[in-house]
Formats: sequence, C-alpha cells, structure tokens
Amino acid sequence: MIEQDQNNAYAWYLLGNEYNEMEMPSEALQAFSEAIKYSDEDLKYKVFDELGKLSQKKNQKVDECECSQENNIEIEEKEDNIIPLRLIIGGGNDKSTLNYNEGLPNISFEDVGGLENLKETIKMKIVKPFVNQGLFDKFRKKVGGGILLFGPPGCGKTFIARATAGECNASFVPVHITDILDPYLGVSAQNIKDIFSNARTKKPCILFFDEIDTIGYNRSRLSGEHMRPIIDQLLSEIEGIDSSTDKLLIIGATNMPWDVDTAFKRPGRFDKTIFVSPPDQGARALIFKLKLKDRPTDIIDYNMLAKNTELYSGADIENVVEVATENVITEILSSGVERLITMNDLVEAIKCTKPSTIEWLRTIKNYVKYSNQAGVYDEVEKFLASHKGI
Amino acid sequence: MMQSYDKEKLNELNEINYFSSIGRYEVALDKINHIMSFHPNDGYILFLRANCLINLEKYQDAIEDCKQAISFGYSADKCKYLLGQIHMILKRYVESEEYLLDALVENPNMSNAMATYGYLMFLTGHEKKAAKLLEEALKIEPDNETALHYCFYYHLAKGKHRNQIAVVEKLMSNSNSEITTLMKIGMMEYYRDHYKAASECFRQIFLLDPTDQKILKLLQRVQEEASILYFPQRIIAKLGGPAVIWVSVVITSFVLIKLNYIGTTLIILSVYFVLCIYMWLTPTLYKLFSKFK
Repeated sequence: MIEQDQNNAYAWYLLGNEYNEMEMPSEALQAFSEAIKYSDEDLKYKVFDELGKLSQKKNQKVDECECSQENNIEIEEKEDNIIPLRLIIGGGNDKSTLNYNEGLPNISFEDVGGLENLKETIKMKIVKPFVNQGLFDKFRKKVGGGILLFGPPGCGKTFIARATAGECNASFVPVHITDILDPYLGVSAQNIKDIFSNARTKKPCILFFDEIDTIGYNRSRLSGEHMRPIIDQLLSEIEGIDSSTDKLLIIGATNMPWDVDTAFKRPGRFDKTIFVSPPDQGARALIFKLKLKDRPTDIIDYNMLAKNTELYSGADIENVVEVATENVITEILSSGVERLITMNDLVEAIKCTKPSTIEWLRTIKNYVKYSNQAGVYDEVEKFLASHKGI
Repeated sequence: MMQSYDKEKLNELNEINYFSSIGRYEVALDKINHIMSFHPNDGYILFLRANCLINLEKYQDAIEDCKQAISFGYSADKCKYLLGQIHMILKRYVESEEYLLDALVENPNMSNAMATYGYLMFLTGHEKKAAKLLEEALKIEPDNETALHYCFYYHLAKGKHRNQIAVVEKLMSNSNSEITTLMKIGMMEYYRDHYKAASECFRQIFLLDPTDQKILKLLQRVQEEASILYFPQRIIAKLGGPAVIWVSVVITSFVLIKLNYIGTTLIILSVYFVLCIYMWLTPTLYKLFSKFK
C-alpha cells in the first residue's frame, strides 16, 4: 500500500502497529512519524495514543535497566536511531517521571479550606465546561485552553490546581522550568513539545505550569535571544497550532503576573485569569484547625485566631503554628513540666510574625494603579479596596 | 581554571545562567551555593556568584568572590573589570581605577572596561580623557551595550541632545532589553522638561518591572513635576531658580522704594510672599489632588 501511495497516512499507521506488535519500536516510531505527517485530526489522535503506549512501554524497559545503565540511556537511544519520545534528563530530573496523577493524593475542592468564591469561579470557568463537554461540543465551544492563576506566594495556587484536576477527573501533569531547560541548543524547545505530546495521549489532562513567569518570561525583558525559541514553542503549543488542545487544560500559576509575556494573556492562550487571594477568615480558621491537628492543644478559638491573622497566607499560618510549638517545646525543656499548646501561645506567635503577602500586595497595588486599563486586575482592585490598610 | 562538568552539573549551570538572565538572582544564588558544595574551588562558579551578589547589592561578598575567582585561575580581566565596577558603585574611585587599568592591561581590547574607565574619568572630572576613552571603546566595539550606556550618560550630562539621540538609536537596534532603551528615552525627555513623555516612558518601565522601587519613585516624581500644580515651580526653574527670583525681588523692591513706588513694592512683595507659601504648600496640595483624582 505504501509503495503505491507514500502519502497514505492510514497505511503508515497500520505499519506502525504491525512493527509495534513485532516489538520493533524504532521502526514503529518511524512509521508513526510518517503517519502524523499525512494524517487528518482523527487519525492523529489514534497515532498519538499509540505513540503514548509505545513511549510507556519504552519507559518501563528503561526503568527496569535504569539502575545499571542510567548514564547510557541517551547513547543507546542514539545508537538505535529511535526518536527520543522519552524526555532527556535535565535539571536533575528525569522527565519520563513527569507525574500523571501517580503518587498524588486524589484531592478535590472539599479538601480546600474556605476560598468559596474562588472555588465557585473555577467551577464555572473550568470544571463545568470540562465535565459537560456534550453541551460545549453542541455550541462548538472549545473545552480545553489555558487558565492563569496568580496571587501572593503561599496562598495555595498549586493546591487549587491539583484540586481542579481532581474535580475534572483528569490526569494532572505538573511541569517546572527545570523539566524544560537543557544546556544543548534546541533540546529545551523539544522538551516542551514532548511534554505536550505526552499530555495529549493522556487526555483528559491538566498540564500545570508552576511559576509560569520563569518559562513564559516577558520577551521584551530578556537579556539574550537564547530563550526566545522556548517561549515561542510554548506559545504555539498552548494555542494548539500544530494540534488540537481540546480536553487538554493548561493551568499556569505565578506570583509575578507582570513577568509573564503579554502574548500568553491573549485569547486562545491563557484567556482566563484568576486571582488567588490570601485565604479569607473561614479559610484561615480551617487552615489553623488542619495545622494544629494531631498536636497536643488546649481549647482553641479558631475564629479568634483567624480574625487576628488578616492577610496571612497558608504558609504564614503554618509558620505561626510552628513558632508557637517551638516556644512550648523550649519552655517544656527548660522547666521540665509538660503542657499543651494554648490559645495564648498562638496569640503570642501571631504577635511576633507578619503576613508575607503584604509586600506582594503593595507591589500589585502600584502595578494595578498604572496598568489596569483592560480590567484584567479588577478582582485584585476589589480585594485591595476591601483592605484599605495595605 | 574552569572545570569539566557532568551532565547534571551542566544542567544546573544552565539553570543558574537562565535565572540570572531573567533577574532572579536569589534563585540563581541558591543554585550556585548548591553547586559550590561540589566544586568549591571553581573560579567560574565564584565569578557567577559575584555577579549575582552585585545585583543583590552585596558588594563586599562579591569582592571576596571575585578575588577568589582570580586566585583559582578564572579569567583575570573579567574579574578585575567586575571589581572595578563594584568599587565605582561604592564610590571608591582610586581602587576602581586600579582594577579597571589592570583589566585593560590584561585585555587592551576590552571595550566594557574601557568605557567604564572612561565614565570613571568623567565622574572624577577628567572630561577630555573620558570623551577619548568612550570614543575608543566604541571604536573597538561599536555596538557594545556598556559603552553605549556610558556614552549616553556622558552626553546627557553634557546636554548634547543630538548625540543622545544617536546613542539611543544605536541602543534600540542592539539592545534586547526594552527597559534599557525606555530608560534612556525617559531620561532624555526628562532633562528636556518633556515631563509627560518622560512619565510615559517610566510608566512603561514600571509595568515591565513593578518590583523596582527606584523606578516607582522616579515615576512618581516625574508625574508630580508634570502636574499643573507645579506650574509656578517650572516657570521659576526656567527663570533660573528660586535664588535668582529672590535676588530679583530684593533688588526690584529696593529700587522701587528708592523711586518712592511704595504701593507697587508692597504688591510685588505680597505676590512673592503668596508664591512662597504656595510653593511650600504644593506637595500637600498635590497629595490631596492625587487622592481626589
């Protein structure tokens, strides 16, 4: 069939399957690569599925012999002339270990304390479109796409993203800059391509780019040209120029939204921007409860603690609990009399700590003042208006 | 000497260079400290750390690292140039000159060092020497960003507007950083009393990096000076400043009294007195005006 028509994508696909069954991965990959060149969208999905299976099979094999041959893997790949579907080692991480929900607790919005408004926004903007695909298909509305979460550090952007994946019942693939960067020319861009190809085989899937500002850094501030291809590749992958991103949701999180290239914020890329504010009073009470769980405590008024920790992030609250616990332990060690963590210890700990979000909020306050013409930061403005002291 | 690194270390070095290039010096420093535990005597890594420390304004530590990098055999011209820069920032001009000259002895074609030395000469009042050195630096490397940067500030101080524009044009075609060129245009406009244009430039820079408090202060100052409330101050500045006005008022009043124009003298003194009070109140008025706005 192929001899008669070299452009027959289906024939290449069948040949790839044949090679796959015959345990000839190199030839299978070449055949699938040819199939992708000439295939339509439907067939492309099938090919991607097969490639995913092939990649997994290969990774399993690699894992088996990893202990003895860890450093020789790349050389072997070159010798076999196999297209490197498994990502090349970089940043101390093996990219084949990019997590597809494995090892992650299956969390949902029930596990997120407070932040009811944010959860409702995410439900309406992300979860419902994702789980009601029929309705969206009918109206020819794309289900996947990009969402940018931004807010002060330590306020649970990553946790919210994981919970969103749990709500959507989708695979969750966290990606960090270290999974992408490679010292060799062109490999970083290829890594991005591979991450997206792998994610597409796992649909429905949520790709989570933590600290998106480091990957999608503002190109007008780059001091060199070497990062441009990486950013361009990421932009084209997010927009889905080469292949459809339906049922593939991309969530980016950043605490420096001003450092994210403006091209990422255009429609079709990260077209929804969500502000993750510091936890509200209810959320803070819940976080205190959670952090003090399993510790020897006296009667604690969580609402009072929450009231006294305005603008504290989740990480700040954890710090308060740690400081209080440390103080109690020090006292026990010096007096020799054991006692519980009391309300007073926590209040004292609050007095000697400050919310770490203030600096961020002051920066964004100035930023919003000079940049909110498009209304992207309306939510932030509302938040700042309700906290006049910042 | 620069050591050879395995793949993992190469990755880490790549990350360090990347984080430095996007201005995340603290992250880069953490990674450098990590890699230092494996390569404690590596001059290149020490040099990288010195670069990060300068940007984090930890100059003394940066000096130590630079000196150590030289002792471990890393490029002496680069290290000495960096030391020259640090001492110039710290206003230790004698030490700065020594290091910059040393760097130029090591590498006479190092246009960065030559331009920095030229600017140092300008700062210390040797204007002719400064002009020659800056010109020489640009001859060696016409598109060198550091040389263009110092040339611009030299022309700005000398009030040579055409030369400023020529340098900015060159920077625009050579510099990747939008902040660098916007900053120069903003400064140029500011010194030509085009406050609105300057304010817009600084606003754009601030939007690119809202964590930069210096830019925010500059922006606020330019916006304040551009305000209609500061109109009398601008006129006074154009007439030669408050001292000139004070001397003029005193002389005029004295002459008018001699000519027996008491009424006119009183009016002039009253206007001057009101103007003084207005100028004293302007910052408060501006704050109120901004809040209302």
